[in-house]
Amino acid sequence: MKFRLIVPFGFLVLLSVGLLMWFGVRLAHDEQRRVQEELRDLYRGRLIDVESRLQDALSGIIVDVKRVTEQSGEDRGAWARAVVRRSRFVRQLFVQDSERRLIFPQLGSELSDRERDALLRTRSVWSSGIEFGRAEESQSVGLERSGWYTWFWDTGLQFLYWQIRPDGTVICAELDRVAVMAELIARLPETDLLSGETGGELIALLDERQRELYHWGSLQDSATAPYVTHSLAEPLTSWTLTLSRSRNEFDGGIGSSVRFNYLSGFILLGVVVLLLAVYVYRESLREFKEASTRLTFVNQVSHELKTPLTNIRLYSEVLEGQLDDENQQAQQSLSVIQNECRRLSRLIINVLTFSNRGQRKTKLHRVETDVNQVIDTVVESFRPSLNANGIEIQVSKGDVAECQIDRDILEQILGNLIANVEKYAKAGKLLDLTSRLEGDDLVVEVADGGPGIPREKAGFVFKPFCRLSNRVSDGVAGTGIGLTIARDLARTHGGELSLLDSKIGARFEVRLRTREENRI
Amino acid sequence: MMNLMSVERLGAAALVLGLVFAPSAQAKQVQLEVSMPNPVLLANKKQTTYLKVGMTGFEMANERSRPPVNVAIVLDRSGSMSGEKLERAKDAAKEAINRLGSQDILSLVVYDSTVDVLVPATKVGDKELLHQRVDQIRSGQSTALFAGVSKGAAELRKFMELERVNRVILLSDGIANKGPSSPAELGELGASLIKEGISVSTIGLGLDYNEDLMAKLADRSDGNHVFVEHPNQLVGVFNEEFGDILSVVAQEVDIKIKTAPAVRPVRVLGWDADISGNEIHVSMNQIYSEQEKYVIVEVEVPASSVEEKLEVATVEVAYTNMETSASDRLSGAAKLSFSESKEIVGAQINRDVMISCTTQIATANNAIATRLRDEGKVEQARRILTDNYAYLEERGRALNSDFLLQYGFSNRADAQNLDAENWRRQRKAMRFRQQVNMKQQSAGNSVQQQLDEPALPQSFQGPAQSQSKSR
Repeated sequence: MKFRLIVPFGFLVLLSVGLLMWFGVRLAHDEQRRVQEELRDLYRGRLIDVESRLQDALSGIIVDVKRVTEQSGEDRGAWARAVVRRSRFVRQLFVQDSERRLIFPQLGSELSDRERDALLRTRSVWSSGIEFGRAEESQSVGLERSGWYTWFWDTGLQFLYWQIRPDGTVICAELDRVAVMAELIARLPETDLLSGETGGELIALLDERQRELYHWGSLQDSATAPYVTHSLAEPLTSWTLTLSRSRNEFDGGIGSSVRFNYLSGFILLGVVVLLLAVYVYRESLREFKEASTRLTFVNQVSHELKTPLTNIRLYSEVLEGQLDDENQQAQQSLSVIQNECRRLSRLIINVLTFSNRGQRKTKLHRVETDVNQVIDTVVESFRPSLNANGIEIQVSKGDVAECQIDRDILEQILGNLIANVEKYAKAGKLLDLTSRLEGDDLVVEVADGGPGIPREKAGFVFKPFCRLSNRVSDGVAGTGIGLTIARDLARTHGGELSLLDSKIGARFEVRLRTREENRI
Repeated sequence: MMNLMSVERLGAAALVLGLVFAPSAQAKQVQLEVSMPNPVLLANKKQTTYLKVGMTGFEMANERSRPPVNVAIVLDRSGSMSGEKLERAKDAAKEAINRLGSQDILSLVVYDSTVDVLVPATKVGDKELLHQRVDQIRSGQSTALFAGVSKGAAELRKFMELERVNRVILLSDGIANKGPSSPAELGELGASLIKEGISVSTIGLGLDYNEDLMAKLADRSDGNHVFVEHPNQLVGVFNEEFGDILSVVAQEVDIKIKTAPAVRPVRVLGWDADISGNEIHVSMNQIYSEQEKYVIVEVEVPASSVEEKLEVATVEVAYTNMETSASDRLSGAAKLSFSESKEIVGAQINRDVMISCTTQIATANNAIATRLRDEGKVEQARRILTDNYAYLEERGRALNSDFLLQYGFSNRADAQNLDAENWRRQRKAMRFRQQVNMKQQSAGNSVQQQLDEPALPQSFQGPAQSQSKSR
């Protein structure tokens, strides 16, 4: 009994504590992820700030290029060469006419080695068929008068800035990649080495080949994978900014503190649940003990009642023999006494049987028994009260003759069933008893004409202390153990007590084996 | 190479026309001299000769009237610099600070894998404070040379004025390994900086730096390049460098050479030049007081008759006079006459121009030898250097030039030190000397003389002696 309780109870407690822990860990984990993500966004924001610095630097370069290319001279070649000599960003100038044909520098004319090299470098640009300012027209309003163009050559990404003049010519300034890099680096922060601060983070600018161009900041631990990476916009496409940071700063910090908070909360909750469980268990154990003491008490009382009751029955029978037949009044009173005695002894036997239930097996005392005579005896003992309630008794005895059964058990089962009829089926005014032999089984059916038992409650009535609550049973005294005991006894006897389908009232079938089984 | 050597065989009478005119009588001007080694050439023969455009800085009135300078000292503080190198570099930087005045601007940038602007561009006021900042320098890790120079240049830009001398002084002892690190890229950086009037002087310390990278950076930005073998030479080299910086008399020198239509410019020796058609452009960043800078142009002269007088080229030079802050213009021209007599041709020789041309030709040969040695062709490199030695000795005797003779000995020393154990040092010495001769650099003279010492005639006792050269 105890063990059966502890296992599911413990399981429940463990399950709930486990679930709590699991939720706690998950919640902490999610929280940590969220914090990490927010942190990452924060750092990404830093990289975006850095990018805006780079874009500022590029804008500065554009301003410079625009300034030096503002006025074009008569002699295009001389003008372009002067621009290249003057601007640190312009590596070479190219001029296209309004038909997008390259008109400077042109092969065949007098070119310097530098210009020849430049043509070679930019060959892919001119052969790609790109028309500056035209491709964009389909998408935007067509107001694009200048823009970037990038391509790969030799050392890497090369930059070209094109402007369309009012007369339709296109001025393309090929930028000096190295000068652009130097300018971008010049605009980025330095690393303050003397302050002794190690910020624990390092931001690096990587070119298209993932080669580091520049970095600032420092890390306490040696190189770790970048924490966030940010790809740059045009014209620095394929360049990236990365931010690395020392591990011990926040991953430990925020993450574990969150996890600690959550975990400690859930552990506390788990402990509370466990304490509650222990309390409930102890409480129920106490109640259980109390109940069993009460049962023992009832048991003892019942035992104590048995002896005086036997004496009362004995002496009332003696008295009956001494009474004159004429003294009807006294006779009647005596039979009432005897009836009540029988009822009381049935009750006591029931109580004792019930309290012995599950503890030790009721011993069978099989003897050659005239079943019909047993039925008669039981019916006779109930006759006065049944008659008083106006219940008609029909007994149809089958050819059962003598069987090897325990007389007391059969008596007790039938007594319980008839007592039920007396209590609950008065209105049916009928008690129908039939007996027969089916193979080795003795079958006795007890039927009444009462309200009957609904099918869905068929299993329920056999449970101890369970009484059908309806108008009929309300107000009727009863222990609620009669059917339970009856079924237990029938099973002890290798048989069964079952409720049969019936049109009116309830019909119970008692089935008892008449032969000793080869049981272990 | 035969072509290069042929200068001597051009020999003839010379006629030099260095046309110089000064707009105002009092203001001193840079002296422009346009000349040819052989003013008279053989008639009726298509031939190659050289044109020298030389500019000599005027004497600076006095120390007080010198132009203010804007200098960024960029120091390598990578791990390899730790110890004596860094200490001497700090001494040198402090010494340099002492030479600057209150009108000068100094910035101090240190770099390892990261860059720190230790002293942002400021007027040199409290020198003690600057010394303290220098003392705070500690050595770090790797070498972000490109970023260091970029940041140094960015500091200069804060005070970029026409009348200032803008200079980055880079000291490094290691190979650049962070950011752009190839000699080509650093050369490009130099080329873009000179457009702004910024020169980068590079001081390579020890035997581990990349001399190509350091030389190219200096070369293309018209700065000085010095190979400093021992840290204790640093103070001297810094002094020389600042001597140069403080003696700039002309800046943003733009030289335009226009050759006659019949004369074809072949190439320019030593300098970055734009040749398009008959026009040649060369930019120099500065001319120092009483020092000559020159450009040698190889030209192809058409066959001409005796009567013809060929104006080979006209030269226009524009520069900023640092004393008057005015933009000055100079012009000059070189003319050739022709003779059928070899005696006349041989008699007229312009000695100075001859020496300059010989120097440039020998330097170009020396560079070829370096390249061949890089390719592993040791014997070929040695032959070129030995030939170069013979050539220089012959020209040195003929022109009675100690300089050429000494240059010849240097080449012989180079030839003797091509083996693996000496090559690392020798290559740096060669690259350094090539730079000095190509750009008529005066800074680093003291160090160079020490480098060449073992090769001087008095100590020459054959190859066995060569071991003692590396100190």
